[in-house]
Amino acid sequence: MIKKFTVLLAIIFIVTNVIAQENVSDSVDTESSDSSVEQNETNKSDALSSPEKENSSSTSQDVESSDIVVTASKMETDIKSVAVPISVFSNERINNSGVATSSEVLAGDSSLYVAKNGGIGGLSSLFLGGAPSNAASVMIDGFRINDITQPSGGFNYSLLNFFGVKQVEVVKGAQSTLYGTDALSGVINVVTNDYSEEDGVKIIGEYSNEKTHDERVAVSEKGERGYLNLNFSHYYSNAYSKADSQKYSGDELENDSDRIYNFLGKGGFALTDTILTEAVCYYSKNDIEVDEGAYQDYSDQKNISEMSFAGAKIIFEPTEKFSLNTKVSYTVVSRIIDNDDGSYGAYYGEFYGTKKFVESNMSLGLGKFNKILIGADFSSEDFESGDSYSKFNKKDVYSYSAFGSNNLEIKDVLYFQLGGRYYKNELSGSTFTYQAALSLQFPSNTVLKGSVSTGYKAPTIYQLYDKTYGNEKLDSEKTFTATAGIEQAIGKKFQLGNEYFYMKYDDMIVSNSSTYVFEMAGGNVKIHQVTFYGKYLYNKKEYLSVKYSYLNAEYKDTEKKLERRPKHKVGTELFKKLTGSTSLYVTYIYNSKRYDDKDNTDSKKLCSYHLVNLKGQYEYSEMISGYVRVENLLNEKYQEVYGYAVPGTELFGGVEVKF
Amino acid sequence: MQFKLIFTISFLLSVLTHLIVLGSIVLFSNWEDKDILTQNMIFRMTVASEKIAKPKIYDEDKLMSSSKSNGSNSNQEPNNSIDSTAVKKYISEFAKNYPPAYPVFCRRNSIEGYVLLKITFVVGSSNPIIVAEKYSGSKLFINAALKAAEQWDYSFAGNLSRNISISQKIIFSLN
Repeated sequence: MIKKFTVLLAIIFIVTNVIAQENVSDSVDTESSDSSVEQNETNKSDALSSPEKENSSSTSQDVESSDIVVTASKMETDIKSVAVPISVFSNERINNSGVATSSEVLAGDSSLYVAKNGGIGGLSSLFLGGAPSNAASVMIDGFRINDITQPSGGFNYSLLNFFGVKQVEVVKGAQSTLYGTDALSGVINVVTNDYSEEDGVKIIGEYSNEKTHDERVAVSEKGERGYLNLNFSHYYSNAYSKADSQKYSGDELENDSDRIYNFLGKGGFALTDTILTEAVCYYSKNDIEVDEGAYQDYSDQKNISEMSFAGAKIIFEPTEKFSLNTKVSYTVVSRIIDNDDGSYGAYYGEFYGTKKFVESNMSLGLGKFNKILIGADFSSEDFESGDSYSKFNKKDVYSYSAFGSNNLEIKDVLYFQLGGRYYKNELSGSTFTYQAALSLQFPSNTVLKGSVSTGYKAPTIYQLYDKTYGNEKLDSEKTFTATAGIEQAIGKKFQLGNEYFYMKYDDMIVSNSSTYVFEMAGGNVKIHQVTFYGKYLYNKKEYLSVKYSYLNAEYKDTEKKLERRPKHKVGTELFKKLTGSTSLYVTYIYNSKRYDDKDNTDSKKLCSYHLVNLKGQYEYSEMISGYVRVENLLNEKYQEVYGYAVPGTELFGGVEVKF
Repeated sequence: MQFKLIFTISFLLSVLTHLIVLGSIVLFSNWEDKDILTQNMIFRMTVASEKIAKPKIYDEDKLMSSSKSNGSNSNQEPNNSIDSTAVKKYISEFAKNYPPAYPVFCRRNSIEGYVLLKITFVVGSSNPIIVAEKYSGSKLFINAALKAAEQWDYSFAGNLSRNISISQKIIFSLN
């Protein structure tokens, strides 16, 4: 398989290079365009000068805010240099869609697979590159927020909202060297709005034909030494039953309510010209009615999940080439499942968890091209079950690690990253992970990328201490990943590329098939994913993108496919201005058939579906705009999780006011 | 208790690591690397500690000959004095070679701007009066520009025969 793919990569590389050579004139155009940007920059500098001719000196630094990502190397890096597969969901792209819930936004990318128990508030899993749902590290501004109360340490994406976000960066390939535990298959980092957000107030309100409504308010204020952004959103739906209507006659079904609150706040303040402090906090409350899908439609049970997170950073940066960062965070998560009156029903549980984290790292530029990053972190987690059927009392576990990474970046030529991390967990012993990544940029606008890395995930407190199923002898789960890719720009408007992602588990925690006790099972999962993508830019803001992913994810021992991942997935996006004040945004997602369980039972095969969403927006003035959007235009009846229905066609109308 | 112990050890280890690296920077300061690190950080660290002399880009002979070559000015000023054009030129050299550090808040948030410094030399004093006359972007630029200007070498001011006041613009821009 790998050999075949290598040959395929080589062929694509040759073909794309031939195409690029034929478009040399376009490339020249690109360069001259860059020059004009520099000219504009010069003009901007001139504009800063006063009319009199005076002596002047400028302090210049290479920063391109629009093309900078931070997740791939834990430092600001030009996206062109990044050597690992990365998907960026910009603020603009999220605003264009009109949707801010993370599952809906991320599902638009063909290399990410989302499975949700019904509607917008339902338990939501994401399989990054096809890997298990607990194999990705979810972060807000570099702080890990994985749910401590989930038995396997996954994350419920219904708790994550992208309103007030600058961009979301999804990096594929194990990232434990930079980000520690959980980054087995990659990282999803939510970069929140900062000083770049415009001053003022933004209010968005929308209402649907199913009486679903969503209200969002953002307030931003910035001064010469600091800024503050506050974002609040509320969502409510009581439109349909999440239980699959095909399993019931109409009388047994009731509409289920989903109510979600989100708050995101971020502030930054310059203590001196070399010391900067930043603080971010996030709160999410998800109050939904519990359905057990194909099995029962409970009428009086609900699931309330809450997550509160606060993080702070102090950055000492006397020059662009030296930075000392210290950051601390505190996260509290709770999950309560009970009846409306507080009594226990068919399903119950009360789970509480907290996590404390402190990290100090330092980046240092050595010479013109080399940057090193070293650091150490410490974290402590505790977890308890609050119900009367508790199987264990409050338990905690701590871990610490030290890491280092060397980044060699010669702009527009090559980027090389080599790093390692030593990790020690109180119970599961020590682990060493490494990461090596290389990208080569050719004058023909071709970029070759490749990386190899290892990842680890510490066992959860539940896996360690549960009195019935826990096992204190568990070790960390470990993975090996490899990525490769080619990107080719053709002229100024076309971008083509492909990427390959390979992942295998070396050590895995599984539940024993007869005793259900957690145990180490060696490596039993192998994943190959190939993605092709193309993007046509009408101009800087308008675009058409198409992305296709092929996935082969299977259990080695049984050769069965991993559940809920389609073999083929397509994601396309179009954003186009129709007139000066009207715009159209359309997404199309195709998911092929997939199984819902490990045994690949035919009766639980989930059907393929085509999902089309669109949004038309009219800007009445700079202050007021209105929009109409349609979700599931084709009224597809499909399921992402067996037994859980999803809403049919829903029409929304919304207004956006800025002042 | 265990948490506090581990936290303390981690913190001390972290501080120790940082001290080792900072020490390495000072040791490696002999590198002939004209990057910002050596230009700014080492320069400012060493000047602050006053253990190493300020870098000498001021050349008295060149300054004098430069003054003499300025025909019109030489008529107005005594032969052995330094004229304002020459002073401007040397201040400009300092501004180019030892620019202020870009304030971290501004760099990370892509804030650009400028500061117009007025540097006044008074006869008999080698310490000029430096004030910021105008600025744009952020007040943080003022502090950065003043800090940098205070580190420049003004030893030539002792040779001045009359008061001189010059303007020096410092532009903070991100390319």
